[in-house]
Amino acid sequence: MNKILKSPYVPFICIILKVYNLEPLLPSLRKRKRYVAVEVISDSPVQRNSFISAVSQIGCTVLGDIGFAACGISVLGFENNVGIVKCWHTAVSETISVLAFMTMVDGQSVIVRTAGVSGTVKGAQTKFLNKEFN
Amino acid sequence: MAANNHNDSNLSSSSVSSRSSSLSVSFDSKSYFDYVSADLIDEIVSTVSTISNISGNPEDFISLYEDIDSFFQRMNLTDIIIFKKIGKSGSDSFSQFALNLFEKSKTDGNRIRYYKGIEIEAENENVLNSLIRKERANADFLAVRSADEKVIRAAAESSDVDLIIPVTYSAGSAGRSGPNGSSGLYTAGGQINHIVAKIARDKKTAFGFDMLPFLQTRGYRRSKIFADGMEMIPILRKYGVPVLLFSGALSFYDSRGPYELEAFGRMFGLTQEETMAAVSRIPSEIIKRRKMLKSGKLIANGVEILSSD
Repeated sequence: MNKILKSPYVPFICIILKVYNLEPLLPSLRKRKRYVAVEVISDSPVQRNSFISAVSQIGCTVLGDIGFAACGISVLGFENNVGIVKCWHTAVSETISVLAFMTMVDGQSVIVRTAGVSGTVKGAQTKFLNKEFN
Repeated sequence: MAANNHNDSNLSSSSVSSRSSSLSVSFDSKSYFDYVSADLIDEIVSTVSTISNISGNPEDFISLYEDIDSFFQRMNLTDIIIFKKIGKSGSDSFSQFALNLFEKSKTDGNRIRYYKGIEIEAENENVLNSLIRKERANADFLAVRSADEKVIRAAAESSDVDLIIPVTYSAGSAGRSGPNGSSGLYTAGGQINHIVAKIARDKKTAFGFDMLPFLQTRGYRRSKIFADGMEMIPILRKYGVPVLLFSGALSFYDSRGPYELEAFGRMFGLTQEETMAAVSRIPSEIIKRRKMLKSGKLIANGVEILSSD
């Protein structure tokens, strides 16, 4: 997230938006999200890609394809067995359930523990993980 | 937001040695219960003993107690009911370490409180009643696991039973061996009727759902257990029967924290308040009531000695 904000293209994007009169969506009109901070307890470290595929696989199994789509679950960051999972604010319990139903990632047994839920990425990082994702 | 209710104060992370990574977690002063097997404690003890080469020194055992405490703290739990199984598939026994843990918990005022639980699996009502009579005095918490209508009815009628778990396995512990097992899983879907619910409410017996069958099954079987649970919840709610949610963990990787259990309850159709009560208030009330009954302060439901003068 910080990388995007620090990008050299940001001023140019702002100019283009102003020239073409493209106003960014007001915060009140954006869809509300929640960020679930998770920790994976396992014998050996879990890879990011394996975790992402496990979340989508278990999500589709538990909630069904349509249910999974309605929850808007996606993995924002995952490093050293801790990560942040994004979902719509109405689907927090479904998201935590999906994470709780994960028993295996990449053939190894895991516990996916929810550390907390926050309304912002920064909140999830500072309150629960003490870590910033690139 | 309910999830944020857990996060008021900071705690340092645990040290279940190789499995841990540094992370600060937090929970409020409320009690969060879980109901786990004595096998889980034995597994943690054996794992930690292997890693840290415990030789039998008393100091090593103190660190073991701390390791177990910190594991449950890491899962945001404060009170643990450790159960052994008695009935159909033989009788388990508590290891010496688990017994020490109960004693230590009583005397030391540990961070985590441990309670002795017994889970009865009986073929019929007569066996159930005899086992209840035999085991009640030895347990802080007595549960009955059955999918048989008659056994559930008998358990509901007994005021000595604290919890009924309406999901069971066939003899030979099918479904507990591996993640894709569960060939012998039965639920009491259509068998929790209005009469049983009414009796359970009057006797203050709770109904409980453990997460383990849901972790061990997939596809149709899991959906069937969900369906049965969803069928039971409205009846239990109608009569105000207390509902409990717990992990029922048999091994380390089956453990789940209160966050996860609450979310699991929401999937069943329980409300926010019901799930919160199911993991904290109701189990603490049951244990408090049992303690009062044991000490003689509570004579029967509604009859309590307030002062001895």
